[in-house]
Amino acid sequence: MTAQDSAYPSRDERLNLIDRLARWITWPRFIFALAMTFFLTSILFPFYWMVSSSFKTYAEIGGREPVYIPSALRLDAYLELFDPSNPSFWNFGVNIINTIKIAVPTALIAVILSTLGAYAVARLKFGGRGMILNSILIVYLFPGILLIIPLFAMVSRIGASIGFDVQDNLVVLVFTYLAQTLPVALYMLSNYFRTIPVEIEQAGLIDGCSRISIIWRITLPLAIPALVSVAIYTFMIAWNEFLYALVFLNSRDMFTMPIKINTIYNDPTPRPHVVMAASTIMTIPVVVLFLALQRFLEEGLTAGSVKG
Amino acid sequence: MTNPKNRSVSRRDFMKLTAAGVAAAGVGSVLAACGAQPAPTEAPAATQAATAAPTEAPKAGETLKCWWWGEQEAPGVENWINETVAMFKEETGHTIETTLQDTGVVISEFQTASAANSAPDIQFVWNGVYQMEAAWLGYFEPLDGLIDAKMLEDASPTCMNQYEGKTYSTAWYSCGIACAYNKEMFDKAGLDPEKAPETFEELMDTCDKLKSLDVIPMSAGMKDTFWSEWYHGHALSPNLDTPADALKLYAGEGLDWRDPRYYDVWTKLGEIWNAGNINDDMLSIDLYPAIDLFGTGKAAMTWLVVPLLNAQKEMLGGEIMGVFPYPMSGQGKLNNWPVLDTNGWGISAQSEKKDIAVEFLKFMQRPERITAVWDSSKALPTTKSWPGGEVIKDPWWLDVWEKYIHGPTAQYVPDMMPGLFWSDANLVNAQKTITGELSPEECGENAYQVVQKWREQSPDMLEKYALWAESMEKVWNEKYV
Amino acid sequence: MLRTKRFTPYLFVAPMWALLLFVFGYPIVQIFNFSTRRIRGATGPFIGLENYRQIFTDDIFILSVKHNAMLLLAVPILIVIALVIAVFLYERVTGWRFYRFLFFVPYVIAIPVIGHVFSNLLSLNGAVNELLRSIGLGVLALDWLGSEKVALWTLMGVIIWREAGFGIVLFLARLLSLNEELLDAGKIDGANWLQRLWYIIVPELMGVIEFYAVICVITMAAWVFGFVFVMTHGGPANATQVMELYIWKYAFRIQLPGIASAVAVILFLITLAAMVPLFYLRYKDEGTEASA
Repeated sequence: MTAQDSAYPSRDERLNLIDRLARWITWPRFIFALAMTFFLTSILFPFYWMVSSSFKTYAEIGGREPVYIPSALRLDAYLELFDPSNPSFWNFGVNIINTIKIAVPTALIAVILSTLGAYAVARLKFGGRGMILNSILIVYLFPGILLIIPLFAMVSRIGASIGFDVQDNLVVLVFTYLAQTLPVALYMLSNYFRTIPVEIEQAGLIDGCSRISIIWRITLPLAIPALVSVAIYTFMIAWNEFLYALVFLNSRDMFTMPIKINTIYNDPTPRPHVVMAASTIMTIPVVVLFLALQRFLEEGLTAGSVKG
Repeated sequence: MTNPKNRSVSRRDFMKLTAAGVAAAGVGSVLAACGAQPAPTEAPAATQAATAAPTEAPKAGETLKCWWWGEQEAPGVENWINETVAMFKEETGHTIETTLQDTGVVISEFQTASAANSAPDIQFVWNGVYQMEAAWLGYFEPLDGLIDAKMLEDASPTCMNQYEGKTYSTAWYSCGIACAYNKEMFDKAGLDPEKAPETFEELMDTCDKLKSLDVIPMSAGMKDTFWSEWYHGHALSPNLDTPADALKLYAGEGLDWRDPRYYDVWTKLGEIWNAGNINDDMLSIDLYPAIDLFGTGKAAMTWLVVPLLNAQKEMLGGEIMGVFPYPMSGQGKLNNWPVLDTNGWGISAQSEKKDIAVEFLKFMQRPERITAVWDSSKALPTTKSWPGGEVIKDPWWLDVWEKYIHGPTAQYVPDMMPGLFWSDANLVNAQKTITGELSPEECGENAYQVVQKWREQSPDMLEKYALWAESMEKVWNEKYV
Repeated sequence: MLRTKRFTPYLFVAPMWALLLFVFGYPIVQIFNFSTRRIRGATGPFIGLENYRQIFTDDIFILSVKHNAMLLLAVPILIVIALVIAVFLYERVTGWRFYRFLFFVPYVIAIPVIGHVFSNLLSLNGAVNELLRSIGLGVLALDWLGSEKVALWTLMGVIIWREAGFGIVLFLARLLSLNEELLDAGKIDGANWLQRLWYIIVPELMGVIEFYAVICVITMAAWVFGFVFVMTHGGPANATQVMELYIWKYAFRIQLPGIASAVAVILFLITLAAMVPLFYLRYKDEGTEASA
């Protein structure tokens, strides 16, 4: 593949090199390289566009001639998001915090509830077990949009009678996100639990441990990849969700990032560079999270969620 | 707070403090909301309680909710809102909790909340059907009797906030429509920079001459759909005799979209597009970036709304920006009239503190407050008695005020479009005219079909639209001509 | 399967069920109820099947169903792309973990973000078209989102761009759990790459492929709102109108939630039909497990 041992390849050796290279580049390899380059470019270019545009001036991104490389690493867009003294300050920090306030509890509660449910489905024998799994999957195919109207009315009625507001209530959002993510979480976890040999638990039972302590001491430690996967999956859904947040949140200071980005986008003074900056900020944490926990996801998300 | 002896007040304040503390700690808003008054569960009960309220003496230190919108198109009004709320608190002791809403949900959110019985006391409204649909459902309180007739008339610059002799909102600032042109470019192209086109033929000629400068004659963006509505406002009015004609068209009562006079809206859109007078990427860019093509000197003219004039003027610099009504050369009495529209304020029928809400609406109508709208945001107030002629020093703005607010104006009729017409006729016809899929006649036919579909889907609205048209025609001829 | 006290399992699933019932139970019933009424505000008069008659006589509804159906074409494309890339990576490309990460990144980006970035890139005078023009491919510089002929396909492309990552990770994980001897045997027998893909890998991956296919079908039928809402608003001239947007339009712009609910019921039934294969898979699975 490479000229290994020679500091100065002679003419023959160079020919040899080209020859070897030519032999290495077989048609399949060539097509493979071409395809990979194409796929990777198409994946990375929009990503690059987002990040680079966040450093552009409005003229550079809003003009009619695309600018591929910003003329300087300007932080104007970021200052607009975070600097209170900026004339068009967006107070984006609050939106980041709101998103975290929603996404973290959603992920934690989802892990707890789905662990309980999935354990029962995977390990315990009871009437209606199969029905639970299947009817829960129906939930997943219920497009979010069609629940909104009756859901809103119902929660408002409850809210009115026991005294809480529906609008701008992050707790209500956590509930709806949990409902959206629990079915898949349950599905993933119960499949994973099944891959853990029952014998390990039975040994524990014989030793006189209670059911809960078996789960806590034996099953959960073995299921960490799946638990992490579920946590990331629910976190990601809650972090990115758009529709429910759009309907349930009313005040800008309660907005989560996705709808705030939409608000910035719809500003009559177009701010595409600020949209890109906010998008970059919103995207980086999930990408980093995914990169850091990739090892767990590898086992949990897939090995657990799909059987052969 | 104002009366330490009043137990209920101090308790309420304690609750509020606790709630605020909890909310600030970020623990959760369920608890925070517990501090607020529980809303009654049944709508009739709410109305009863509310009608009983004015007879009691106003209590000090009540808290009202107010949802609003406007900062998005008139930057600076948020300061005005905060200032007004603070002054109101100072004077009356009542707190107004304000929430700036997102553009996409201003109207639907109030209706959804009202249906769920959790509406705010005071709600910002767009004109026309946006408030009327809610009013017909009993969600808005008629203001007659609550606010005296003189003030109410003064705060009704258009007749689109009235139905069957009742008024549902008070005016705030103008959101009428206009066109802008670049005087410098007119000059370079050999046109008179002080004379904007006054007929459609002149407009087309002007565009032709501007093309020699290698600029976009008129800029527009329709990917995000809103432009179609603005354009409809510009183009339909000149072919009407009264704003009530629009209601008759939308409801299919007496007037017919298949009449060339009315589908002229799309005939002329086709003409100006086919002549290459609008930017070629009109369908793939959004409304506001397209307007910015004017402000950044890439387009010679554009369609816009009055609150956006300031930003474009500042971007373009100097006094090279002129403003003119879109020259449609229509066949109606309203041809060439500048088009006025206003945002306003309504009171929820579910509010238990209507008396205080009314006070706040009146407070906003004080001359000092109205002038402050102008000072804080360069949005032009629409209250009729406001002495803009004395307050506005800048001759450019004085001219705009005289033409677009003070002088005889037509009204922004798309405010009265039913939602179905908006999406299936207004938007579809505009976009299909640009893509060349529909001829003007076919646009007229489609609009007619959509009206028929609307009549089938909303039989309960037919009578309301008919009555609305009738009462509007009367009011228009009496008071607005 | 472990034996327990009779009520323990129910205690385990109760919290989750309570929550799901709370969020979904009443609304689902209510949607069926709403779909038979002319809802104004909180409720409205019963009008039988009139709402259904209205939508089935509406060309735009028919068009939106057609568009959802056309989007289903993305399902085989997604499967092929994901499968090919997964197999590429499986052949132990140097740094395959990193590539897998890159391919998965689009899947974790929020849809509004993707929508705004692509809207910007794909406008008539945007970066993609300028690039194409600069390398002499000006004929390919279409009005990606502004032309009624290509907008839906552009949308589909963007959806594929995002959703493929999930398939790649899914397939790759399954491949990694395969017995390598099986593939080596294929190599020894002289089967070429395509033959190995078709005769060895695909049959082994059939379970995952079916699962992924069902997920994709549901996505294309019922979870594309975000893309459409941000990128085209259903335009130009309804060229990208889909069922979800149609629901949104009737619920929030036209304010006739009754009609919106009727569409919701239909959409529900369609996705339910799409779920049947997955149920079948599950049952088959339960069966093998029980016999094992």
